[in-house]
Amino acid sequence: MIGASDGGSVDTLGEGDQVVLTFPARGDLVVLARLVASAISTRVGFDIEELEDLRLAVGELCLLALQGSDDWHGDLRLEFTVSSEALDISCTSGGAALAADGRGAEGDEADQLSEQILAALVDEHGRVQEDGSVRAWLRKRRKGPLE
Amino acid sequence: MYPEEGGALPRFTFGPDGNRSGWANRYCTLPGSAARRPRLKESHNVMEQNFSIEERIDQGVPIIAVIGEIDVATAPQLRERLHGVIAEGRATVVLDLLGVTFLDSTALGVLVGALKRCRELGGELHVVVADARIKKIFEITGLNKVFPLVDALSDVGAP
Repeated sequence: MIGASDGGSVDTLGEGDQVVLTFPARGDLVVLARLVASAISTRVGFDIEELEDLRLAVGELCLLALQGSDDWHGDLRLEFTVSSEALDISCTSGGAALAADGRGAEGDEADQLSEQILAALVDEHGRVQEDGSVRAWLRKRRKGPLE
Repeated sequence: MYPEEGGALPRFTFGPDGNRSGWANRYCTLPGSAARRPRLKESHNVMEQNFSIEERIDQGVPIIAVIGEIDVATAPQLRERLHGVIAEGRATVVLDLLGVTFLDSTALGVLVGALKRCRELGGELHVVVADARIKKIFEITGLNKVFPLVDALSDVGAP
């Protein structure tokens, strides 16, 4: 179970709850981000299809935060923030970069595919450069109000 | 020891008092009071990924079957295998994704790269995919119109 906001069920996440995951910028650890995204999706009330969408989208978010990197070092910081109308997720590279062979020669093409996938699966998404780090973010709105 | 220092793969471990320890203590924070914090199975290794590639030849055509998740971590293995087969002069390849449970943009990039190589040699990269979730990824990227997708190996046309 994951902790809940005051007054909520212990197996749910409510408005104002935030989960932060920081992990080394390694391709084999992006699966962590997807696992956490799955767990959180169920706890904020998304259905199985939305869960699968978010699992894929979060992985792409991590890859976009590492765009343009040619060496890997540092950490990725993933933040999940629950509000009454949506789940907001951001991934900050903090100067981290992915292992060189991860995206390979198809890197630019894969980045375009990441953008397409996010555009199709979430309501809003973007990427900004801030103080030498890259932050990719997305917003997935709820179909109904928070119970 | 952290994984980037050459240690064991990260594990989420929780001590008997519910406090996070080790790698998880450094890398993961959760909301709520300590009493509400999750308890995961000790030494539960979340990093394990089932992934394998099998290759066989059927009537002169290589069939590469992938099982598991194809993502940024495993796609390089698939890239290496596909490029190796094509480099042997086999212009037409069948990629069996019936056992694939997850696919990301890195995997799609590898497939597009392999398709280009096949077509440069006058061949084709046939992709066998039946899972609706995997098909959806091809559809939202428009790649269902680029790749010859079929539902079953028996549906692959004669090369």
